[in-house]
Amino acid sequence: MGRESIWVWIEQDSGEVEPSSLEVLSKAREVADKHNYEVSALLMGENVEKLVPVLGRYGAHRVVLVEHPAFKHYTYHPYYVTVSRLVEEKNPNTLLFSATRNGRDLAGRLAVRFRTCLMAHIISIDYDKEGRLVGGVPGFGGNIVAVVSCTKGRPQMATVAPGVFEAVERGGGEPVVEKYSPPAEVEKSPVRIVKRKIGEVVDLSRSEKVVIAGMGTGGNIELAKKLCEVIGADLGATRPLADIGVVPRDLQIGTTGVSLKSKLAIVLGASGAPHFVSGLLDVKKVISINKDPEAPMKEYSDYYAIGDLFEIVPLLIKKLEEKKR
Amino acid sequence: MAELGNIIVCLKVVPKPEEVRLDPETKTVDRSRATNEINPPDKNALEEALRIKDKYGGRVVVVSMGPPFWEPYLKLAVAMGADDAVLVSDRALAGSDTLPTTLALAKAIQKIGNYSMILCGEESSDGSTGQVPPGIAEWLGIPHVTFVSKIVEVKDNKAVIQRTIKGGHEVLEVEIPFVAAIELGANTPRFPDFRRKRWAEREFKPKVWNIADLGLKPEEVGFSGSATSVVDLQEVKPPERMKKILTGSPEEVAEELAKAILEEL
Amino acid sequence: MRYRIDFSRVRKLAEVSGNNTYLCYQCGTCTASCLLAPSISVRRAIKYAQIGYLPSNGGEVWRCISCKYCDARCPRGVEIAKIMRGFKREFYEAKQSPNELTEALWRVYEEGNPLGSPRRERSAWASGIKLDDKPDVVLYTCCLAAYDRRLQKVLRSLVDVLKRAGVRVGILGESETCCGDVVYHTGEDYFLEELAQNNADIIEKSGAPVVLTVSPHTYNMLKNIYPKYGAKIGVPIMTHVQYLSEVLSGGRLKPKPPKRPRPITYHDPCYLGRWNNVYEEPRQLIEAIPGIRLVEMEHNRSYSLCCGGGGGSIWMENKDARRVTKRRLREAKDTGAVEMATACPYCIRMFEDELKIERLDVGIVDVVELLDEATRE
Repeated sequence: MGRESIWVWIEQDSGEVEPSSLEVLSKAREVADKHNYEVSALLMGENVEKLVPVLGRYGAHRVVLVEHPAFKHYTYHPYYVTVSRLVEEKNPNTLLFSATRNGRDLAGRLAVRFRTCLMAHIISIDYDKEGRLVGGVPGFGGNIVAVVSCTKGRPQMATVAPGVFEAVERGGGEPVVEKYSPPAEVEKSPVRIVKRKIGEVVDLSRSEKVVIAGMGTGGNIELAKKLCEVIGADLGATRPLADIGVVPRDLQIGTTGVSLKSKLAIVLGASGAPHFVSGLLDVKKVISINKDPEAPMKEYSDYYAIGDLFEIVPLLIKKLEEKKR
Repeated sequence: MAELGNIIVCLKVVPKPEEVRLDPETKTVDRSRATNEINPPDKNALEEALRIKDKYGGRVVVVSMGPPFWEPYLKLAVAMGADDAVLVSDRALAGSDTLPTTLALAKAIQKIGNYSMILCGEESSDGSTGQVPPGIAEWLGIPHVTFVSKIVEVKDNKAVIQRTIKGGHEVLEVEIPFVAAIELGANTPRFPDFRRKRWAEREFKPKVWNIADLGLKPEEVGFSGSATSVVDLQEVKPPERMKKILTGSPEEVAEELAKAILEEL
Repeated sequence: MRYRIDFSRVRKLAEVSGNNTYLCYQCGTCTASCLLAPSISVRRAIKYAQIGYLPSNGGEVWRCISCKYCDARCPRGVEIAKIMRGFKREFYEAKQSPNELTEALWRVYEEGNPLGSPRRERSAWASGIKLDDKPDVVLYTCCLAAYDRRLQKVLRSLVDVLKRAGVRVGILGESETCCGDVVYHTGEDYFLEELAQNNADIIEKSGAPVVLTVSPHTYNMLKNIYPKYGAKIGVPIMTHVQYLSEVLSGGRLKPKPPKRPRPITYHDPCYLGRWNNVYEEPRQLIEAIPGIRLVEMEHNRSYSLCCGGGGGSIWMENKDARRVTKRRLREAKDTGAVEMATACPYCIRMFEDELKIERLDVGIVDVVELLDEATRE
């Protein structure tokens, strides 16, 4: 009848695409090409037709386009009624979301609506010989990965962990656009946004390079900031520094803060408490400077420099500046 | 102002994540030697419910789907201030993924009835799917909100809620009844009243319901009612670090560090 | 401001202080001597106790580090520290205690220690150390010392020194649970009752002939507070400095001059000094080491300044307390001493943490670590 279809829900706010949706789209296209499936991007927003070419470049064969003011910001209801109607009409094989707050929020409800499978926060994705969706699901704080397969229900659903797959421009041409009008109920939402307050978005989980200040800096982060400037890194901190108010909570690394996925983390004066270290598990290279030759941090570092950071870091900055020239 | 009736709190007991071991032969998760605790954000959900009750009245009822050994944890919730507790327990529920789990919880909530809000923890520390709160809302046909940091106000048939979004927060109005998933750390859960705890241990008995009590058949729950299946389990080992120690004068150390850093730039 | 006197609260607060709130004649000596001045008006707090008034903002009471500096100076002998604790109970029952302390209570309940470290790692500090099944003394280690890497060294020094003196040392192992100092200072009574009675049971079942504490907070709880909660410990309880002092005067330790002879000053921990009147034993231990010269700070013995960690403060972000810590560090530096010796894990932790920010050139040691250095092969 036609190829099996993988639908990817494209999250957007005020016409700006959520970057991790492009990761899912790109990965979906990679998997689709393997199995000769088709990828449709599900784009719902206000005045978002201009985003169609971008979706094509990242892998969409088709774009299902629904425009309405109700989609400008996310509340579940307009998206839920629209996606439900579209899925019922077009019966796709698979429905994917990025596991952002809104992605999880919407997918969780839709999966019950369709009485179908939903795999959470997957870090790997493919189909088995029988065409069942198979994904790697982390659990127990990331210590264990379960390989999970869909056993019943259609569409097969999953939320995809952000930052795991790279968004790759696959050089696709213009996608075929299908325009739809949303159902009338989108205007009868039981949830209404009263106000929003958004500050500067600091998302360290997307940083490539991070300099982390620990208590060994004594709360003086000037050197850490200078080092950031020299190598183009973002500033992070351990929990005690956020506790004493030297940095905002957004910059806190660890179990109750950010899990880094960077290539490089330079840790200044942190002893290596377990709650902090767990935020470094996905960092490619960890470099530490610490006065204490016995600090636990040395077990979690690729390079562990023993010395006074207030002596070493200024010299380090000078050398990096020289070598850059 | 409208009466709030029952304020339902969904509670799960989980093993401490760092104490769980993977049995590489049977490919199953060994929770037996791990200490159990109330799923931390569920404590935040319970605290939020108790705050609503303190301010507006109502009855806080805790609902759990799990084995009989979870009873002491339900009593702990009562010691914190919950008025009643329901344990949905049945062998047939073993192996349930979020689809039958949300169904069973929704049926239990319907049986309790007269609810104005259902508060859950945002996700559990074992499965971490976050799928249960919106799933329950769908079965019950009521609105849901996730990543709630605070229930600010309750007025007539609406609640004003604060939700965390990327870069900040938003304030929403939701129609009652609704489901709210409360974020970890949204509040500080009150310490139990140990006099009430002693009473709960001696005299309080949670209601225990099996699937027949909920009008469910075995095919609808457990492995047969689920839509996903675990094919394999792998332990994730933390990355092997080089652990290269650098000592010497600050000049020498800085030189080595600069080299190591430049490799990544 | 109209206020109707709450007589039941007046009675409760009077009782908890040993019925001497009415002795206060509001002279203000307490407020003037308070180390946290002007953050707390101690005089006004006693007035509130006299009229049973609970202010809507409990701030002052929670800032109090329970150092008893005011207590020691009160011309009427009002037991101010007890009244402050009585207030904490009133605030706790009114659900107005600081979040950090509530969280600490949960951790004590769930893991047996306020840090939330795993219960099963309680005696990890002792791995590789041979301990005795029929000990002369059983060590009650203190949660902070058991789990904090730096403070574990104090425990190991203590065991080493005792063994050198021919003392058989035992520990309670994994069944050891928080003494409840943080619970007491949160104002919670009912969990504390259970905790105290359980701990007393554990001690009895262990068959310990003598219980040795490393932390004066533990000592204070076991000796002075537990009996008020129906928990009786039937064997002698001693602080480590008292026991070591006995061992020393019995000639079982022979301290030798250290590699680095140096001047050392001694900081009287509040819970050892003003709370329990133990001043001379730690000094005897220091002065017994040839080559170590004891220099006193200006404020010593019952005039000693505080480290800022008492009253539950060590578990909270108490900015006022840090002023107190800094002040004491500077006083130590001013004596010209190379190190400040003390006899309390909380003091060591407070001072070392503040030194990360103050960056003064003074080391912090426990008295037993000096003895360890002086008696090692």
